[in-house]
Amino acid sequence: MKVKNFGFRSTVLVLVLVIVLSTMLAARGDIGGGPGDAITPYVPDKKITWDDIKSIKEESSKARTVADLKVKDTHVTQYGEQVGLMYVVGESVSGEPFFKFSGVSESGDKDATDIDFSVVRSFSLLRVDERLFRKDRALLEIVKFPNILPEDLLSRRPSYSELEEHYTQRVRLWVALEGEKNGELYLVGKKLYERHIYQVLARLRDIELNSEVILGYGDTRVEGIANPVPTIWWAIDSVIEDESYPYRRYLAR
Amino acid sequence: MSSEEEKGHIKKNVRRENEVRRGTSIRASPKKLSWLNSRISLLLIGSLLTGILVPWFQISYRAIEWRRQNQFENVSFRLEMMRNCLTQFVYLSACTAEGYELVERFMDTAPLTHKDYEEFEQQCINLQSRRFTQNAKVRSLTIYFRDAGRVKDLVLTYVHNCNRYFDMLRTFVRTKYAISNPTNGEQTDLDEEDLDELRDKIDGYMTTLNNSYKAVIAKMREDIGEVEDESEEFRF
Repeated sequence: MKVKNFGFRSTVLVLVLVIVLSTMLAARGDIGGGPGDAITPYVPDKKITWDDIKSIKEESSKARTVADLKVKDTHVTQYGEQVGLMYVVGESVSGEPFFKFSGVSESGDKDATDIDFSVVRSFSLLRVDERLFRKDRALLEIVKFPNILPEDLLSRRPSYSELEEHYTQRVRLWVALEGEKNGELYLVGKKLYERHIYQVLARLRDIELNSEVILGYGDTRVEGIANPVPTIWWAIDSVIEDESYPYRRYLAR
Repeated sequence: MSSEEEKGHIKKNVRRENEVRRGTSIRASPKKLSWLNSRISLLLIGSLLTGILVPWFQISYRAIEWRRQNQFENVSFRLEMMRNCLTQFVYLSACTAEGYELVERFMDTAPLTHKDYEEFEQQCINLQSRRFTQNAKVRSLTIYFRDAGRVKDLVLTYVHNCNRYFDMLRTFVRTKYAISNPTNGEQTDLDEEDLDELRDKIDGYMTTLNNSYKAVIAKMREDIGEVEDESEEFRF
């Protein structure tokens, strides 16, 4: 009776499986260059109150950042901090910007809708309507995250995965591109290397169509924490304990 | 027909003929420029035109083309150097991550042996040496940016922050070594609380480092984008 020799083949197969598995496991580990602990604006081991969340949420609206903003017909990508919106006449920026999207929902609901920057994860410019006898407008798709009230966040204490799954909402909004005094709607912010003044980042209608503009979280100083922390107002303990929570302490590279 | 009638008829014909001759001779071009009609003069005029005008056009076109090509090559070279600077800067930033990785293994509570400490010091020296070489590469390439002064300042700020960060890392390891090896004769009143404080400082300083890193990247990419736009103007 002949005995088939599977020894060599099965050894090779096992070795390949081990190599692949160990590579996958290694890849799941931390990326290096930092402790990888979760970043939160709340003092560790201190009970988080509604006032704490409200205060950080208010800071968060005014502390959003933008990176790699793609603008039509140019290779220049824009970076900015404390981004906001402003109707600008000419090229001079004066006054304070507003930190929300105001417009009318695409579904035709005539009531104006305001979406504060603190609950915006990203937005995309879908379409620009240039109208002859009325003000030009733009259709934006806004990803709201997390679409949850601070009181619900405290009472329900969801994990990050639950926030991703149940509290993410896409909204389409028509936004007026022209203001009252013939101003044009611009995205404004402070440059990373010139943090003292607001400058124009891009005209909203000039943003590349269908490119997602992600709003990051800028830093703020919190009493009880030595270093500036990002204004992730929803980063309570139940959220940051989740392994999939992405905001961790690593060196940027 | 009688001879008188014939004579009259002939005189009429001659008169008519003379009139016709007179008429055609008035309509003819003046005799002064009639030489231009000649084949030889046409040949000479043609040669003059092709011999002077065409080379003049050619030289002018080549001069414009050469200038355009020269500008395009300068812009392309500059763009390449700027992109190289950005790449080298990203490599430089990897050094700080490497530095952290060297120290991370000492962040637990296990004591630090003399052998580990010596090994760390040697690795640190090697890493610093590579970091300084990389610093020099980045700084030498910053001259190609349009806003070279600003880029250089931002890079220097980042380098300064890195230096402070590395000082913190080394202080942490030296402190841990001093705590772990009190019999070495080094008097120390340091304890684990000081180590925790140093650890928090190191972790907290990452924000400053990351912000200065992002500022450099933002400025470099903006300048690179502007030059990329400029290089496209040379395309037909």
